[in-house]
Amino acid sequence: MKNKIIGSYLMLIPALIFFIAFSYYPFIHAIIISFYESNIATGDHPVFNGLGNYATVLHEPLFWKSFINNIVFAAGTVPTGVGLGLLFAVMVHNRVRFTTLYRTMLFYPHILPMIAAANIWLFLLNPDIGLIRQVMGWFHKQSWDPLGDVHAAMPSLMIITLWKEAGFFMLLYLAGLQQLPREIYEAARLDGASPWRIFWRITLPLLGPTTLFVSVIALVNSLQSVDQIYILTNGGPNNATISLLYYIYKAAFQNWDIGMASTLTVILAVILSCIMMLNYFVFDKKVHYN
Amino acid sequence: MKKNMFKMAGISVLATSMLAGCSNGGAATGTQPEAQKGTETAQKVNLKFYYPVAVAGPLTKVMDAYVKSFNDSHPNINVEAVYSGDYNQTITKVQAAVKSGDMPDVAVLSATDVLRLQDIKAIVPLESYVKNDKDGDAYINDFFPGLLSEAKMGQGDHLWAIPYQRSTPLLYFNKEAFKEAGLDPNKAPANWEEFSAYAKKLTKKDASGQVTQWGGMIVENDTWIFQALMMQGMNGDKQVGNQDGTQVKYNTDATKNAINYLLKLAKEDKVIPEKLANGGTLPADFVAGKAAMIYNSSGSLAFIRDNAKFDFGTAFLPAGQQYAVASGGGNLYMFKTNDAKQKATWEFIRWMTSPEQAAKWSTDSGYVATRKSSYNVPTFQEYLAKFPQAAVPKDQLQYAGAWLTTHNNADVGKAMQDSIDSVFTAGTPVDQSLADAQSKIDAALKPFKK
Repeated sequence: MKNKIIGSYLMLIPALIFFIAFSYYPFIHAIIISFYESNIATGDHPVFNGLGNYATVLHEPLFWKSFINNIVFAAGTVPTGVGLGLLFAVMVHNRVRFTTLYRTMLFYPHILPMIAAANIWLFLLNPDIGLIRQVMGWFHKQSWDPLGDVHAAMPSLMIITLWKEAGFFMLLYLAGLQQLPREIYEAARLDGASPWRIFWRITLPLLGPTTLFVSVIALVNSLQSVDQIYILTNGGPNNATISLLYYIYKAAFQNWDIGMASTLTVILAVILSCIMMLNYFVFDKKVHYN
Repeated sequence: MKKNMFKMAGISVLATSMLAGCSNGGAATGTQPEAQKGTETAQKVNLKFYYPVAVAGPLTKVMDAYVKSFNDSHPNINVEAVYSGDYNQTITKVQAAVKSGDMPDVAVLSATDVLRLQDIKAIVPLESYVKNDKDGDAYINDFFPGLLSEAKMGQGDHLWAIPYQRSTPLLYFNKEAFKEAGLDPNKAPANWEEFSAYAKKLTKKDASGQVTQWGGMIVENDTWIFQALMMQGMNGDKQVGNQDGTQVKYNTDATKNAINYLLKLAKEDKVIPEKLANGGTLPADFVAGKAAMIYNSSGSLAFIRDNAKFDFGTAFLPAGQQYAVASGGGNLYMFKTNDAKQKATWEFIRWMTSPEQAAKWSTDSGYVATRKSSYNVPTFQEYLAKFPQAAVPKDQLQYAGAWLTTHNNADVGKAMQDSIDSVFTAGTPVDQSLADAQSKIDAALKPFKK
């Protein structure tokens, strides 16, 4: 018995070392630094500042701007992303001709690293040589620079993110669909239920756990989005696309304000843990598992 | 799922860096077999050199060739040149490298980064190297004095950098477009009113009212160009910041004039695009005939010279109350490493800023040759005679003021840039945006006021 316990801990050690070194230790360190003023001015001698950083952050308009941007971004990408994933999954679920091809085509954007995908879009959207510009040229439309437009930049980022993520959500939904029991469908069909009714009354409720999982992933992804912003807009124009994570990056690595960046990190972590908690203690109980 | 991906990413990063390490090693031994045979192989000093490219053109190739030529002539030193993005990305990389203890030995960074680099204790002052150099004084006095002003900022009487790729903003103008519009192709607009009048004549539209050629393009939110406009609106004085780098006079009439000038060109005259221009594409837009005049760094001169299919001219930026520009660009900084490396770095800096090398870099890029004696180099004299456009940036130096250099310059620059952005893209009233920016700047500089 004792040997077994020791054995399991030994097995855990490699993963644990990584976790401690790259997750727990940095996070605890960030919490501590968040109470200090640590920037270019203080140099190697951080000054204890109590909750001062938190007060500064909460009075900083750019923080609220990035916070609201994150909410807008989540509202724009989570429901649509989940919906598109489900739609694609249902469309390619049944084995028809070329199913695999369709699945591959829908899934392939997810295989690309975000940085590469964002660079592809940077070319597509280039106001001088981009594909979008050329298509608009056929209709004799003025050159258009969506990423340089305060109103169009955020929707552009959302569309790019959806293009990238919907395929992944499709895959998760496909896995969910494969596991649904066939008998129920046969019974429903014998009872004369329409396909529409079957979808709403059987498929969707039975996919509840998948939907929950996909939604949480989509939400967390949306809060963690930074790569596409870094490549495509740098948070501009006029801070229209700055996200919390990008704000943290700027504070830490461009402005060298480690204290403030740590404070922001702790705030973001608290938001993320709240979502996780809601997931485990509220939504999880409401979802129907077989 | 996420965790696994991180691990995978980690492994692949590790693998690529190992591969990169191998290939670098291979290249180094391959190109320098003679060094291997030498008896002093053990004392060979390896230097890492970060440099940004902030202007158009294939300058990485040029830089690699310089470094190779240095390595070939200095068997005891091996410099590895690392292209590190634009100025912003370079300083970001350098800061991260300093924090992790793996900093470069020498880097070209913006002249205005001097206080930030002092604040993070990354660089060493150079006066002792100048003193120990057998003709150090002559060397330093050979630089155009205005180019050393940022390098001397900060606490104490030190010299923190050596001018390397320095530039002034120029007005580039398309002479053929001038002729077409009935303007004298040998006379550039001399002041703001003339620029506006010329630009009106040069703006062309097609039948549907779409602009096919803009009169001008100016990157409105480039603080370097914008600072020139601010200084042009002043009278005699060209001071925007103070010598300690702890104060910026931003919410002033000069700033208001500058921003209103740009607003008038964009929204009233409609001779420059209303949307904020993207700095990186301006030279390409000019070469493609999309703009008849542009405000752009002299560093783009070589790109435009090599790519423009029409005759073009360069001129001073049009004057407001006075001619004024900030001399911009990058300086060479020496990082705090160890004695042997710093000595080798000094040798590299001396070589990179020799009169011949400065003249060559000016020919290859368009940056100002930083040393007076460069202009005695015969090949450079020939070049200037053949291509007089290249002499304008140096002539403009007489009107140059110091480039705004402050502590915490990332925050300060961002505040200035945001104020221009918000006026142009969100329609914020000028007074309000300048007041906001001033309070942000004051807050950013407060900790540094002694």
